[in-house]
This record gives sequence, structure tokens and C-alpha cells, in this order.
Amino acid sequence: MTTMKQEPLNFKLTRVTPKWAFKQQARRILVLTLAASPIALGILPIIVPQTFVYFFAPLLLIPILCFVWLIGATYARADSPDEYLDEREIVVRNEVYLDSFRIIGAIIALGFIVFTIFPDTRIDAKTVFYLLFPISMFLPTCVLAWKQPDPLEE
Amino acid sequence: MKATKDSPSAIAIHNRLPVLRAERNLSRQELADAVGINFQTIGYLERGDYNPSLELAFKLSEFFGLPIEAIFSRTPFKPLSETLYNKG
Repeated sequence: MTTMKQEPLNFKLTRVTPKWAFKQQARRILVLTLAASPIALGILPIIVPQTFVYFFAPLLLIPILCFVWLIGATYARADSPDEYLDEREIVVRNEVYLDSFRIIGAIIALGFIVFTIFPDTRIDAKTVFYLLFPISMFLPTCVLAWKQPDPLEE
Repeated sequence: MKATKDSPSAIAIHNRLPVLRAERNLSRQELADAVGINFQTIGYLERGDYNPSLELAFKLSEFFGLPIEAIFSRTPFKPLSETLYNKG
């Protein structure tokens, strides 16, 4: 007896993604917004008085929404197992992971260069973890969203 | 690993998929469903942006009832009309 394979949650995100987000240009804007949002959210408490910071809390939704739409716009292919992909999609997903690995490698190498040039720099392990964990989580989807051309008509 | 257009090992494989699909009045989705792939992949194959695996090439060959060399070639195909009318 065969059992129906249940649709994974990340596939369902495709249905809540607006149509415009599927275009490559829109996807690239979403990637840039996602990349810029931690910087913007980091600067905000510095430029806005402490009492008003909480008014900007809904801005936290922007990176979340960007990431959800990016997963939907790429049909969650960056995170899908082989059984949900055809042979080309598997090749593309593997290339995306290779690119992501190279980018993370470059970030780590850059960190070592900075520490070599400025040996007095102090950064704790937690900060490195909080920096690299979201990057490694988001990167494959972002790379795929950036590279994938506009979808074809059926 | 199969070659996509961006892969350094990619070699140009020409194909007659658009002609064969048009002859049979098939949409990309219908052809994709018949061979068990995403319809976007049919588009990539037609544009030459992706080279199929041997398995997929055989599936397409079986679907169209033609030998693989009638669908895929390493050299550009002559137009079908030229091939038919210049035969003899």
C-alpha cells in the first residue's frame, strides 16, 4: 500500500507569497531588504530615544516577512529533500549550497583577516554564533532567490 | 553532476524538444507530467540551459517514440523541412 506524502510546511508558503515576489527583480529586492534589516534594526536603538524604540517593534516583522516570501518565491527548493525535486532542481540546490558554503567561508576568512589586522578586537563566541547561525540558515534560500531567473509560463 | 549552463563542464547539447512538443500540441506542463519533472525544467532543456541526464533523455525518447539521437545532438539540428525534402 502506498501512502500519500504530506506536503511540507515550507511548500505551503508558496501559496501565501504575493505574485510579484516571484519575479527575479522582486526577489533580489527582498534579499537586499533581508540583508539590510539587521543593520537597520541595530542602528535604530542608537538614533531613536529609548522610550520610542518599542513603537518600532513591528519593524521586526519585515525580515520575517521577507524570508517567508523568499521561501515561497523559490518554491522552498533550497531546503527541499531529493524526493520533492527533479534532477535539475537537485543540481541547482546543490550548486546553491556550494555557493553558500563559499560565502560563509569568505565571511570567516574576512573575520580572521580583521583579527589579524586589529589584534585587539574582542568578540565573544556567542556573538559569532548569533551572527553565523542566521546567515547559514537564510543563505541558501537567498542565494537561490538571487540566482534563479524569472519563472516560465506553463 | 549534470551540467547546468553555469557549470564549467557544460557542453552544448542541442535538442528538438520545442518542435516535437509543438507537433504534438503539448504544453510544457503536459510533457513534464509525462516524464515526471517540473515544467520549468522543460523550459530549461528547450533553451539549452540544462543538459538532461541519460535517464531523462531515455524517458523523453520513449515518450516521443524516437531514438535519442533524433531528439538530442551535440551539433545543431538542420531544420526538419530541409532534412525531409533534401533526402533524395
